[in-house]
Amino acid sequence: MKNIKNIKKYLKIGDILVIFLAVMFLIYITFLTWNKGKIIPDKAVIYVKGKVFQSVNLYENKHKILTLNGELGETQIEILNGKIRIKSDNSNKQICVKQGWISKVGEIAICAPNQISVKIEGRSNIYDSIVY
Amino acid sequence: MENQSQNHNQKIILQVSPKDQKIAFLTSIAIFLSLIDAAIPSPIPGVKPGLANIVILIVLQNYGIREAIWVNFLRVFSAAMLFGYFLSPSFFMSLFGAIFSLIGLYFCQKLLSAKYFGLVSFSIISAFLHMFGQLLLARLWLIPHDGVWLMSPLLFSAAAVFGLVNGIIAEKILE
Repeated sequence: MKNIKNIKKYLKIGDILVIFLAVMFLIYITFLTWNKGKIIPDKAVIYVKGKVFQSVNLYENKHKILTLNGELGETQIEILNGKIRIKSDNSNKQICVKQGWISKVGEIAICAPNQISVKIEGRSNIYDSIVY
Repeated sequence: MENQSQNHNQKIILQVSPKDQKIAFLTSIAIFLSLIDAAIPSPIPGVKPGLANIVILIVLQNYGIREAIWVNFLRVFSAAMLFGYFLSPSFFMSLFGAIFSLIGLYFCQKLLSAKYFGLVSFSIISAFLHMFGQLLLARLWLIPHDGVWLMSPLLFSAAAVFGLVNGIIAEKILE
């Protein structure tokens, strides 16, 4: 406690203001740069044969099931609580079905034989990598 | 520095004023502090305590912005040449940081009344600008990818902390 009293000796009123503004600025840039894809509502884009088929809002309905026709036949895509997954398709290995739920910006579920993929896109992007 | 021609033999005596000597002395302290800076290990590359800025602040307070600019640039160039990183990316980072922080100090001195704002304000503001200048150079030249801005919260937090500490140290020395 004594140490803090000693330090206050060197701070003028304007200094306190500057410190306060600096902290505000830090909070602001933390939200600006470290908050991608979480609070901002995301949408998922469904690609069929490489082209955008439909864009769905993940938060619009609580629960929704979409049925589309891929190369191999009927494919079901399910949206629940802001997450999306490929529920069922007619592929042999069921890789995309096994992948399960995706919800973060940048995540993709790809059904290669079916030529259907679902990608989460947000209003801003998470950076894939930083090389230092 | 003043030149005086003695006679037609063109003997020139350079007179160094006491003020010049003091500034040279302070510059050498700043260079020494740069050395200590470099010796302190830091978890994040590029984040340094910036101890030389303590000297810059003291020079600003006691002599003015011109002298502070002199000392800072002399420090940047000398340290770079002494420690062997002249014209390397570190040098340019150092230079950019110095330029931006000096611009900040200039405006701080003009706009902030000394009655309410002490060296701590100057230090924090110049530390932020220093960091920003370096981030900008990194973005434009070294890492041409917007990912650099992701480092901002960490880097500016460090700038805030060290700016505060350096400002307090400078005030303490001057009391």
